[in-house]
Amino acid sequence: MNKRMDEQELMEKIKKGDEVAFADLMILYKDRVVNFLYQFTGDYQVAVDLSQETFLRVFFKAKKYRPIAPVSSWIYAIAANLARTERKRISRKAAISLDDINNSYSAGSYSLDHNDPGLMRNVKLALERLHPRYRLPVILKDVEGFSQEEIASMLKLPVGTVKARISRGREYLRRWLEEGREIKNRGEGDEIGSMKWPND
Amino acid sequence: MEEKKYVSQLPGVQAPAGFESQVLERLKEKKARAVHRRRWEWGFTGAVAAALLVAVLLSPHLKQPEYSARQVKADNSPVETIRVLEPLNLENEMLRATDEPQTLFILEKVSDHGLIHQARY
Repeated sequence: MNKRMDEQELMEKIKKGDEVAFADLMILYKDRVVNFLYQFTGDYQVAVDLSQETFLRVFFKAKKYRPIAPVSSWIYAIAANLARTERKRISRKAAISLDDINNSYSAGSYSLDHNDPGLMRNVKLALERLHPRYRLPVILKDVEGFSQEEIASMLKLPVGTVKARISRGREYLRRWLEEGREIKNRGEGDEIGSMKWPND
Repeated sequence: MEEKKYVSQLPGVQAPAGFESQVLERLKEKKARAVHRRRWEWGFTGAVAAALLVAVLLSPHLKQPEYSARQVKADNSPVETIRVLEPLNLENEMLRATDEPQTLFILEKVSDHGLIHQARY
């Protein structure tokens, strides 16, 4: 509660153009925002650039912030919008089909041990492979720990849609990870690369 | 539910050192650019407004109409006057007048201060 009050006070100061308060807010959220954008984009430098842009927007749009929502939701909503815009920009520029890219996901070999770096790498690759429509709510839910209602508010989607997307996103991840495990058990390194992108 | 656990256990990253200072630097640049742009916009708006004002003032529609030589000649030409003689029947006029509601004004002096009040009945 105190943290939320502090954040509201910071936002009030930022609305008045207080750069010190702005720096304090950045200290609170920079790691979370960079991590969120990194999980979404898969590129650290892009994530840092987008995070910087996110905070600049927080400063310039502070007057539009209404304290009915937590500051964190508002910041993540800005970050999510930027991430989606960036993805669209990249996909417009992309000249190579995603199917043509040799996916190292197929080379994964891992056990069920959570500490296995091979497993984590494959989870990461599977997440990157997931359609952004599902990836965004899955990350917000499973990595950032937001509630479905908060995610719905951030993404401006009905709660039912968010639930369905999280569920379907997890389902794709589960299926891919199982297939990866089977391939590993069969010792066939390349078959999993032919798995199709979920288009629905 | 394994996939949920795996995703939540993905290794995270942190913001690079000097992140805040970089953002504050970009903030200053953006502010300076915004001020510059606002000045330019105001200047441009002022220039457009001035141009519009001049255009309106110099508009031929706003000038006083000047007489052309033909109009002057027409004005100086002798005007043909047509006299109309209309018979007037005073009897009808008086009858019509009596049908109309009558208003009587009585003026009386009610003060020595020179003010005249009008009483209407």
